[in-house]
Amino acid sequence: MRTVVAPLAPEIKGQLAALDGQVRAVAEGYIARLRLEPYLGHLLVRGLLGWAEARAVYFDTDSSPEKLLGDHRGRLRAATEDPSAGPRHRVVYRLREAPRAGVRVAQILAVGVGHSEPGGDDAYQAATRLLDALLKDEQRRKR
Amino acid sequence: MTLTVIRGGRYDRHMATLPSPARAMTLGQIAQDPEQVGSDLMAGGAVLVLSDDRTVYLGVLTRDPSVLGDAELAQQIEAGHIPPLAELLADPGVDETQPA
Repeated sequence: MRTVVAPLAPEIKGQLAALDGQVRAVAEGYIARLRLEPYLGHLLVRGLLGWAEARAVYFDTDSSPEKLLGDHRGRLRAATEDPSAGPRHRVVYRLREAPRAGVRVAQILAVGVGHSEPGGDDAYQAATRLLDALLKDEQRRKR
Repeated sequence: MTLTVIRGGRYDRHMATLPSPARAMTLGQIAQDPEQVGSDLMAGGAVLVLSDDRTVYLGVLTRDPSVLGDAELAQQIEAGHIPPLAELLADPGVDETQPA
């Protein structure tokens, strides 16, 4: 089965452009790496993203997406620590596997901070918005 | 180490690759009991869908990944959310069936 990354939606290009240069480079590295390691991100379980079996890669500015072995998952957060203590950024994506077509497609849903300040926007909210818009668009087209 | 002996019909069900439960239902029957159909599909079952007059097999409802994945991808391509397959395959993807 061949793994490809679907072209980035305009929303994702905008999110990448808004990131600091170093963060953007690391994010792009992880997006490229999904071709090699499509199951890199951990499976999300809540809400619409859980329903869609979306995944999230955690990373920081000092993460090394080119490292295939080792500490690429970044420093783990202890259960007693604040959620913001772990890697700060996320690449949220979903995988679609088509065995008969022989292709697995990684579709990026959001890139950004994992936990924002109260009232702010984070990658999970942005991913949920994009996924919701895609699903509504599909429903409209069916009518 | 824990060993468990599985015998008889339970063994057959574990080893079977066929969907279970499998039923034939008309569109009307499906509409009357969507929750049951949904739970059967989630459990690995399949429903043969018949027209209401039972004269035509319309298709099969299944969550079999080999069918669901292709159908989902096709649907997203037709909705315009993902480019056509030929364009996708122009991506420098990684083919895990080919040696590096």
